Amino acid sequence: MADALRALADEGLAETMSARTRQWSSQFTWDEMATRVLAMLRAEAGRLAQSPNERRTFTDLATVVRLPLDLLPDGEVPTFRSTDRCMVSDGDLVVLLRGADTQTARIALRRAGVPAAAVDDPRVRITVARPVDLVSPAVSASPRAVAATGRHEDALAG
Amino acid sequence: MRRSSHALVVITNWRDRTHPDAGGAEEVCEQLAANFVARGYEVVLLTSSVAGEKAHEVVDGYSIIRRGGRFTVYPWALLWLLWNRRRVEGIIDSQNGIPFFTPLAVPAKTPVLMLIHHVHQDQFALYFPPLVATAGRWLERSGARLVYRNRSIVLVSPSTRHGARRRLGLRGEMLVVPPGSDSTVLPLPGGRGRADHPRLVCVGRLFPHKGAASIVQAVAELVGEFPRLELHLVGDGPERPRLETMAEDLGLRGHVFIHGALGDTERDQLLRTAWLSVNTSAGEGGCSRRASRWRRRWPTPSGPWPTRAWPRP
Repeated sequence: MADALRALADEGLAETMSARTRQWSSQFTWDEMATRVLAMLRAEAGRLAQSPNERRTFTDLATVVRLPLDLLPDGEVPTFRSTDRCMVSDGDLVVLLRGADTQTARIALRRAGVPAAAVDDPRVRITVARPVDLVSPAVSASPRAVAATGRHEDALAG
Repeated sequence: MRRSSHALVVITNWRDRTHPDAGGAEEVCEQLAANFVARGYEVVLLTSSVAGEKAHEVVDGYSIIRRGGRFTVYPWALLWLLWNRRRVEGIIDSQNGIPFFTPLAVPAKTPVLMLIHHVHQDQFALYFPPLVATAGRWLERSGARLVYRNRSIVLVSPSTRHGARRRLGLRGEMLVVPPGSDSTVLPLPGGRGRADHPRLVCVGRLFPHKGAASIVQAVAELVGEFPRLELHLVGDGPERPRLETMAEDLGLRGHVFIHGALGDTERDQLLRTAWLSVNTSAGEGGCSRRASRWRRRWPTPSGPWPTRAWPRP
């Protein structure tokens, strides 16, 4: 905390952090929470409807896909599972795919309607999700955001 | 489960917002209830009785049914669900230490989501005698594993998910869904409103597991380097007298201010003057209050507990 107070004595840094904090927090809305809880409830209903014939296994592993929007054909919007999280950040489509490893993520992208050429494009980044990604994949997936937040996290680590 | 058209969704939570000890979990449940109603669902919130409150009322379009007390609300809720099991199309089973074990009362095909705010294993011993605490730990861990089996779980933060897997050993599929916040993003040009000396603001009820004593102790260690440091505690609870005595004993008069519960406006004004908002709570999962604080001004470092896993902006 002493480190944090020393860092925040710099009003410029404090203002930057304040703005970023408010921007970060603005993504957490009750509407978004309700949407995701209802999506999970419906997914659970679907799972139970298939039971006991359901053969799907699940894993806690999740992946973050970062796909430049210019790789998507005009007017085509991929359709992901309702329990996946999808957002646009810094000109990229960012998707948090639950229960998917990095190889399964490519299959999920194709199933969602992303053209095969786009899925295999070297600019597409697929990484294993860290805890922070489960909350907000867009912020952590952004190289600019990572660079910007790194200094702040260090300042607040105490 | 139907997508709306009056499909009945039941939310079970041991308290509602009229309860004197209501906190973030109650806010989450009632915000979800109101939001589901706005989407066309019929929603019933099953909760415990509160002195002076009606046994049944409609708030923001959803029904609140209050029956039983701190412990008897659980069998009451199960009985209600058993009686209405054919109508219920989905359940949000909010776990505040002890889940409601709702899968016991509804058909196997009825979707039930356990909603976990945080893991309580370490808290039972703070509030109950040893035998009751042991029973509580068993119900949260082994009891829940037996009854919920592979049912899916919603958790409010990655650290809660980690605890639910590692400490509770729950097996269902898990989805992290952070709580929302009803605050608006206020423009704060040029640092206007910030105190001219270091000021910490800590918002939360003053209960032992909320850990406010640790921040008072921290202030005692920091005043050497920051002689004008102030700590403002907003919230009330049984820990308040102890904290007041502690601040006095540590010679922190003029450094620690315990405001008690404040109205939203007053609280927000105070938050706007903060250099840093601090969360000291032990084992809290995500907390809508923290999201609100973020939105009002400052990032919120947490105590040396699992909440450290919560990401900072």
